[in-house]
Amino acid sequence: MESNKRNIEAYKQKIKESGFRITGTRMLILDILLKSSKALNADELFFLARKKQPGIGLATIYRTLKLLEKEGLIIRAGYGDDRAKYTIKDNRNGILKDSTSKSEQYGSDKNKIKIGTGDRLKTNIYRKSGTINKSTSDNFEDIKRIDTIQNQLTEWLGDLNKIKREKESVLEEAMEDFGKVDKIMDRHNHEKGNLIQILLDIQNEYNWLPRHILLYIGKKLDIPLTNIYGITTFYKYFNLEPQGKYSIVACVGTACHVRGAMNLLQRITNVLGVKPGDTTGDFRFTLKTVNCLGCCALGPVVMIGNKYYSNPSTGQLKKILKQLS
Amino acid sequence: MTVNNKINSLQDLQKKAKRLQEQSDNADLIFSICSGPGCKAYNSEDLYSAILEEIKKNNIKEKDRIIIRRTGCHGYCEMGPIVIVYPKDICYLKVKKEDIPEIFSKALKGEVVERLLYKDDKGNPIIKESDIPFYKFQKRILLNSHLKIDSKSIDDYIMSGGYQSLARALGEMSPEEVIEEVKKSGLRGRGGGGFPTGVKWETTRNAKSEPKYIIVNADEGDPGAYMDRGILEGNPHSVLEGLMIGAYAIGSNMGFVYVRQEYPITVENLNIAIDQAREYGLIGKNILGSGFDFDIKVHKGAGSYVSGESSALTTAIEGSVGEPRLKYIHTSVSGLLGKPTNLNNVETFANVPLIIRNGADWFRSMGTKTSTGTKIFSLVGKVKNTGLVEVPMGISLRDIIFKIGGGIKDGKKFKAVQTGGPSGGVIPEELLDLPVDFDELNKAGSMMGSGGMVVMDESSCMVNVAHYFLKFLADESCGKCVPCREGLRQMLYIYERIMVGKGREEDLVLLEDLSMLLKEASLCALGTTAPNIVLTTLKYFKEEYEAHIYYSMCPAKMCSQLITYVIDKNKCAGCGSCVKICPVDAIKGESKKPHVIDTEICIKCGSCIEVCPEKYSAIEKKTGLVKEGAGQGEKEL
Repeated sequence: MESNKRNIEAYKQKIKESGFRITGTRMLILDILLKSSKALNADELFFLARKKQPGIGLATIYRTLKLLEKEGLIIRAGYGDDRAKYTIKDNRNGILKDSTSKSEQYGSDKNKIKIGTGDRLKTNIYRKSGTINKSTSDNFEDIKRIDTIQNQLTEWLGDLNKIKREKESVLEEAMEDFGKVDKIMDRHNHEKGNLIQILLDIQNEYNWLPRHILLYIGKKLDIPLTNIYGITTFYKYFNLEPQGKYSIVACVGTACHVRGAMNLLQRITNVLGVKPGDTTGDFRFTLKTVNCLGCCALGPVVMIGNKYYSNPSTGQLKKILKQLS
Repeated sequence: MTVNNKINSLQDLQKKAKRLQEQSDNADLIFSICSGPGCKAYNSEDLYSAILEEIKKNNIKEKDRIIIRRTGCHGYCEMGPIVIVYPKDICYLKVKKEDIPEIFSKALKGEVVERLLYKDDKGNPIIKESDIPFYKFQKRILLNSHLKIDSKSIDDYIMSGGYQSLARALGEMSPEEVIEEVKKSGLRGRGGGGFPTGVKWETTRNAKSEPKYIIVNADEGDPGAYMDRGILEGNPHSVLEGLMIGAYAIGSNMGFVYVRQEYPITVENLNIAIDQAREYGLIGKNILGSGFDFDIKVHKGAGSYVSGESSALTTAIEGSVGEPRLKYIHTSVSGLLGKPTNLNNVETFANVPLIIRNGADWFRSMGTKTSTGTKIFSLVGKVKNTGLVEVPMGISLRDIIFKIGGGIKDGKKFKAVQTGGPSGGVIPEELLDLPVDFDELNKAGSMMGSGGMVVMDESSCMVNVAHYFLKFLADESCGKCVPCREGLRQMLYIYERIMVGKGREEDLVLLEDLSMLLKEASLCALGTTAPNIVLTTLKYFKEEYEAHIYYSMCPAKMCSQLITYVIDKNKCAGCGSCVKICPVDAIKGESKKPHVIDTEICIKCGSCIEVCPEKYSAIEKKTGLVKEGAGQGEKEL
């Protein structure tokens, strides 16, 4: 770990010299790359970075990577799964930490292997990365530890996806019976013109619009699925993904905006660990934004469940969410 | 239903109104609790149950002795929840559940709870709502009716003379006479365009095709505006009555109300109102014995701003994607299902019964020559008294903001007011004496819009505000026409550049060029009015743009990329509250000794400023970096 810290200091110096500001995001990404035993693509980085800084966007990752690459702090290390992977460039002795990178294959190791097709490149990377890293690395213990953590993370992610899938299948099973849908359509006289109203009622009933129900409606009302998807994606209210048990609606209307709605939203994302529009892993909360809740006197305001809260602090937010669970 | 509740004539209505009035006069006490969206957020619903409990506790059995009304928005949302006790007309503000027993017991004795009354500058209590400065300067012809009407009761509306205008129109006037009266009153569309309502009705009436449709546009999407919600939720029958008078005038038998589903209480109240009116025979076949048939359908919108545009709204009601179309043929001639369709805003319809009841001359006596009557604004933002205000047209902005609104919050300086929602522009202090009517605001580069009024003080950055509105519009743009879809996006990129201090010299010209293009070439009003905010901020606050571009400075200290948080060593007492709140652990220091913010880690969330105790107020925002090329430069000025 000591050497890592030293590394970071060196990189900080390097960034400063090149005239860029040292921001939290830049340091975070460097840190992740330093700790990582293998090259990472933007998506993987995004996933890891979000653990530490929930509000971060994928675009930021790409921007930061571009900048760091331009400054020669990191380099592209080949393309796994058709995606560019990045790794840190070692500054102390000018050689690369990860010798599997594409540029090095063509550079210092030119006479050794000549790589023709993409497939062979890929296999080479995989074969080599394990051994070389472990032998050349000066902090073997750290890498081992990070590897275990990463394994845990992947396992955990798998669990999460499993829960999500189970949840969806349970939901879908519960809705195998189309009685409720039929009732709703009856209420609207099976008219094509009432499609939006039917969808609204279904959304109110199930909290989201499962695909097979949309198919069913399309068949019954003789509307192509593409039209239904057109409508469900045009109007903001419709969800094509399952929603959390409680919705957290942060107002970002003008009145709230001038009173600091953005800071409130940042606090909420910090507490929840999800971006607006996303649902927490345990399907308890879905964070949404709305353009006006009509109670501007309370602004900036957030609606949690059915209650309104005026500009709650981080501590208050945690308390409120705890009460709901 | 065993009893036939149908009302068959004007005489029936008047008789019923008289009887209900007597009933209400006989009551000892009437509690009127505001249940508008603002007060509801303050839990005004709890007050209702608390009063019911008190009635039980005091063992009052006679049902008619005490009446509780849950009314629509009173307007003074800043001081909510509001409870008014009649017959003495005592207005209590900021009432909590715990206050109810005291209010109740004193009200029974005819006494007043002084601590809950409004206090003027000198500390003198004011009993009546109408004497409070916030209300004194208003002219409340629409909102005043809310105070005495339970929003879920048709009887209360009939008591106050409701549906008599409809009866009069159906019984005594021909459709042409109704149109003539509305034309004479000078009523103009309250949704923003300001098109004369009478003329619109006439066009629809004269259109050859049948059947004709009439629509209430309650798709109020402007952020920070809730006038239509206030009316439709508080007094839905007034809108229904106006709608039916309009339908009679244009010769339509089918009406729609397009309302946002984001307003669940509004939808609920509206549906209750329609059911009640149907029960009384005020909707349906042969209304009030006149032979006129009419039916209403509620269509809930699913969250799309552009669907509030008239041609988009009609396609949305047809059940498809709410995109606007070219309007070389007006909706009055070919709208819903290709038939003549008349669309008016909620507030426009709410005004119609009043015009029929009191005459066009009465309506003309308010307002200016070209803009008659009153207008409701939702006064929000950094103003002391947030709420719905209804004023006669022609009143100056200064009067609205300083006399009614009570000036700027926290003793800060006024900077600008943004009118007309995302389509409007900003108006700076030097133009505050401008009379508020359709034409004058347009001249200043802004517009009346549906009536949003967002007040901004010196801590609001105009570049940031313009960016906010553009982002909203870019999100809501339907993408059908290129100028709006691409133009807004390009403008947004420029703004994002300027806000992080990477603006270029030519950006201001580019913004103006793009604005002109959007104005000329966009398909619907969303695109053509979108540049208003850009052009007005550029016109009145150019120096702020220049500060961002040339000096990487945000004078209002709002753009987070251009500010740094600094702790004043002399003021900081080392209490540690900022250390605890900081989400990234950027603040360091021993306790009881001045702390330091590590600017390299700081994400500029501003939490520390909020928690720093007022007696120290040691944390400051600083702005101003010398620019040495894009993305560079760390030195302070």
